[in-house]
Amino acid sequence: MPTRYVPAPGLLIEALGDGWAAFSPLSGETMLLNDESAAIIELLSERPQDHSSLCMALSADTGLEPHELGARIDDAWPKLLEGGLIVALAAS
Amino acid sequence: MEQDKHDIKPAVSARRRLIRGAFAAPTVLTLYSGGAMAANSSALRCVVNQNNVPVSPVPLVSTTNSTYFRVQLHAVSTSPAVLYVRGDSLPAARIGTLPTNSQAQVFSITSNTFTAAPVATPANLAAQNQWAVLRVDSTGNVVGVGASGSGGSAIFQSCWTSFVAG
Repeated sequence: MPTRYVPAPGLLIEALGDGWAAFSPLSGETMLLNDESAAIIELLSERPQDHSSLCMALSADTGLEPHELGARIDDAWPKLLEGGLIVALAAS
Repeated sequence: MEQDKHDIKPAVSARRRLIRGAFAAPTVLTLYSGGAMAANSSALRCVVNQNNVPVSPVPLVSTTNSTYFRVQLHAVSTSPAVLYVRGDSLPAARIGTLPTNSQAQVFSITSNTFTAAPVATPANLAAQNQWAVLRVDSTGNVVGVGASGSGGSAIFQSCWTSFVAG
């Protein structure tokens, strides 16, 4: 079963100018995000998503094909995980 | 238990701010906190502090996400119980008897130590969902894996992040 992700518990995120400010209790860090990163977290906050379902959802938002988004989303997972912004759900 | 709802919705929707027909690379920029800057007299202060007050005991191998600075273990599918630390998985800043980039070394998740000398990296090593902590000395070099090696201290990922960001 593909890994699904959700926002980290206690994550705080607020719009800040053209971007977003986020604080993660997991990493203890405050981070600046662009709209794309914030949109990923917003989608994950609605329901847990794996890579494919997230690409589909963002495809609907952007009008781009899911495969066009795939590589960029692939690159985003490590950044979001290392920042403590999201966590992977255990397989059930 | 699965977390289905997360109450982090800000007043503005990031999705609504996405531009149709475009999707830039998602970025995450860590801010260097003023508190940390005030507390640190050098970029290495976090690592130095951690070595002055080491995390003890060094935790055993983890199979879940942890906040420790760590390295992923690998195995050959035909011998999944034999776990290796790949030299090319270790940071370049390392000293001591650690595997080189073309080597791997058998690591015991029971004793939390290397149990054999480094060997040429076996073919078809695959990453496992098991991780060993790395120990770092006060200058930032990796000096050991788990309880192997000498000196240093296991540090948390946030400390390492502060170190490399500084």
